[in-house]
Amino acid sequence: MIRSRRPVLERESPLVPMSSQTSIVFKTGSQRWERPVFANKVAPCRHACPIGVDIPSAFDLASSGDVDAALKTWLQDNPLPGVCGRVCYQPCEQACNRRDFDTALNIRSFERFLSDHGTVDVTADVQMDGRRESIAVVGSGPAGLSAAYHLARIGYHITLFEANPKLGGMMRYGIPRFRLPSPILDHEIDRILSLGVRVELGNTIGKHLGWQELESFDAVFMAVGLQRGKRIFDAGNSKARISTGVSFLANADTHPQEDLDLKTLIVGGGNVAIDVARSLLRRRGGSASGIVVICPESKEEMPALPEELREALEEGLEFVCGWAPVELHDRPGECLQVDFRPAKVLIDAESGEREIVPFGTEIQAHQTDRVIVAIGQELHLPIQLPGVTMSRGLIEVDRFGRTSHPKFFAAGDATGGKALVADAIAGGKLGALAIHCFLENRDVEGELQTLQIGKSSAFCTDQLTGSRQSRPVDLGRIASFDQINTLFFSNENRIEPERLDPRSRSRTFDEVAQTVESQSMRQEISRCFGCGLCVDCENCIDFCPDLSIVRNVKPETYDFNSDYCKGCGMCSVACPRGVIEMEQEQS
Amino acid sequence: MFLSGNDAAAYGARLARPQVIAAYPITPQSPIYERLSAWDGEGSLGAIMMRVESEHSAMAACISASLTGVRTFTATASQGIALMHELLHYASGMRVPIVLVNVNRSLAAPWSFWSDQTDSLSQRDTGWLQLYVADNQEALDTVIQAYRISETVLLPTMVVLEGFYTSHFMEPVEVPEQESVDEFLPAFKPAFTLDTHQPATFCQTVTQRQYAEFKIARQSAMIDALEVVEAVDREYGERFGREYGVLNCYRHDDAEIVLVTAGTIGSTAKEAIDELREGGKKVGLVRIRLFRPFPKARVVESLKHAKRVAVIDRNLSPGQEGVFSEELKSALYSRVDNAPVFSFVLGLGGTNVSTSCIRRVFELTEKMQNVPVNPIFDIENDDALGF
Repeated sequence: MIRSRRPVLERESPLVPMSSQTSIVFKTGSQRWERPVFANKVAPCRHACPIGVDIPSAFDLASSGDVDAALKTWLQDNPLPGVCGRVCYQPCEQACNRRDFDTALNIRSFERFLSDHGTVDVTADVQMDGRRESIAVVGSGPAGLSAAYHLARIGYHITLFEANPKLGGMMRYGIPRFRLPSPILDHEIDRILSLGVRVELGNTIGKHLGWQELESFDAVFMAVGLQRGKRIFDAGNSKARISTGVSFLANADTHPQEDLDLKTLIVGGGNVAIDVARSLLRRRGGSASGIVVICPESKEEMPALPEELREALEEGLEFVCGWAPVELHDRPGECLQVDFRPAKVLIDAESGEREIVPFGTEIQAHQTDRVIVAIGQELHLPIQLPGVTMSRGLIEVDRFGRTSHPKFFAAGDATGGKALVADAIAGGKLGALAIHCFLENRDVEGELQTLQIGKSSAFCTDQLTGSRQSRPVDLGRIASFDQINTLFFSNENRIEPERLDPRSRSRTFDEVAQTVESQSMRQEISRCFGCGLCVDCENCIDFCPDLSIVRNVKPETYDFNSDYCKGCGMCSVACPRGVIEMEQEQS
Repeated sequence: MFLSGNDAAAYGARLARPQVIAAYPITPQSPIYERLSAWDGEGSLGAIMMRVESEHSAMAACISASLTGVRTFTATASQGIALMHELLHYASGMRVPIVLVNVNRSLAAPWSFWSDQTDSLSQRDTGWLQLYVADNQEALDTVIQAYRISETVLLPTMVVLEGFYTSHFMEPVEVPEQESVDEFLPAFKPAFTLDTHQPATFCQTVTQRQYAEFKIARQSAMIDALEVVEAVDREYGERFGREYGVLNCYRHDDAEIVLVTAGTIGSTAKEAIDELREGGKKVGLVRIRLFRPFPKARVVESLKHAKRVAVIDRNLSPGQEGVFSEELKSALYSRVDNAPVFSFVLGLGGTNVSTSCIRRVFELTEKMQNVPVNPIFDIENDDALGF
């Protein structure tokens, strides 16, 4: 018989030349003229977010099922995800790289999902009362709450002054409940207050809160907003019949029913005008007849969120676009009559400022019982703030929110910024940085430069509070679509939240948009490219022909073995997220 | 069955149950490819038939497939094996037990189709076992044996037929039962395979010293292969009644002049030897069946009584002589009283080496005073031989 001569494979001298480790023979690294560089970059969504939320990291954490950790990442920059997850204008989604692939990620629904499902104790990793200084925050809208939150996290003593009986500013007294339910706002405010923020309610500046008291603080952050609706007509005798959008919304629940049933003309094309119309519709039990919204803009140019306009149209509300009011006829015992002329809107490409230009001689006359004007708001400050320069009726600030008075800082609508929640939160966050630098006697300009995300005014708070050990990110660089290797991704439909049926929802103040179910959200989470963010997919390890990618355990990072890496660039191509780039060797 | 050598080789291959066959057609091997394709078409092949774009790819496919642990087969000839050359080194270096049938055909230029051993002998140093067969039955039997040998020593084996002499001639061939072959040749159990759960680089770069170790290990396997070839042949003989030996000898025990050759010339020679024996000449034959590893000790032993040795090569190493002659001389050098070797290079390009031609070789070998330094080509012209 044949002897078994099959050799036994030994570890030291294998019969077949095979290796499960690096090929140790040639230090082929000398052939390299380019080297791979591992650098996390900023995703375009984060760059576009005025608050600078680390969106891809939150998606990555949520993809492993850790909703709490994802929410914690969000709360690092934005204390109001439940609010923004409902009413934000989604600049992040406009910038999402996935738009070039199929459709943008539904980031806002994700943000809302985190807020609806996650639990985070924001006091856990901050040193409360770690500093001596006391800071007054005047106004508890998004800017004020954001400033209070960020300053409290750094350790300052915060006193939050609010004129109204409840906190929240326009989020409570402007945004209707069917867009932002009160319990959500209450919950988020409670979370901010858990940081030890002292609250003074019913303290109107100038009435109960005087200059001297304010000046006794080490710094003051003014976030008083624009409380008073702008008027176009002298109301004269018709005060009851001519009102403003903001005053209507602040008292949406208490208007007497007979007023509500009047034929109403709402002037304006922004969110306030539509919110007035939709609230009125709901108070009327869903009857849209006799409610007309009229604005100088075309439907496409209306400053309101497109989805709000869409929902209003679904609910049967009537819009008349392209007409500007020119005259009010108020004759006793008769209906009000407002004359409109055709108008166009000129939008300044740089500043975004709008100018309404009526043209032609045609007049459209509208007969109505009531006019609600929602064309913007103005600042109402009953006291003089010595040393604080005002400009065009607003508080003048530089780009950090510094007023002409060294101790006084301001942000939000009162400084003329964008009248949107996310921008107000961003203003509060930046103001917190400016105040911190002022109190620490540090140069805010230089500080911002090291924290700045791309060229935006948003910045990363990691170093500020020292509360998170995330992977280092090159904040100056944005991961573009061409850096994504789309071969590793497949087309998937974007999920949209369910909405209440237009007929039934227009009778109640129930929230229109529903939270997305966990199953669908998991699917949406899996769509995130994770632009510029290493998520340990380890494609680089799998694809490296020289087994030259080194996995470090602590901290969890990747490196390459310069003795053997030939600089072929395979890893940088195989990186789905644009983290690895080739850089010329310095000879 | 009445089969051509190509068909016999194809039957042998199918009986061995390979799982992957990768090949490219080339005259005179094409009928093997066609036969396998026909079986593939009717669903009786039992293997994946890869119709690749070249012989280079065919061998690459066989190597990779073999590394996954399956039995593989390929067949080629002439320019085909020349193109395969690079991968032949890889195959033996990777220790994959591939079986290849090469049908000898002349190499260009000039373009020609007929038998010439130079194509396979040019692959002498690629680390493959080489077995040269003389008829169609032997072709079938040797293919089956080759798998058993290769999978034991973990080296690839080349079974060599001769273009048109064996490849296209038809002879009665006994095709064994599948069950008997299965008993003789159980399924291939590889010692190591590609495993996606344990990723590894195959054929990685090694140090100078490691390289030497691998080559020495392969040499040991080659040396050991001799006994394996013999043992496999013996067991095959016990089971199927046909045994060939590493050397196939005929009437050589008392022969004074022994002819050494390989392939079909060996079977023609038997007739010539019978004729010469009738005339009282003590002549015999040693047909070299196993060329790699070269059975040195067996050759020396088989020629220990010979007074003179003649070698007929149907091949030529330019600037030297026939390869079998050269190898034989090298083997005999270990014997102090080695017999003179007369080297003939005949039948190049497929010309016929007839019985009369072989009788003339014996006659000249007996007559010559001195051993010529260079091989003898022209056996008809005495002047050319210096008489």
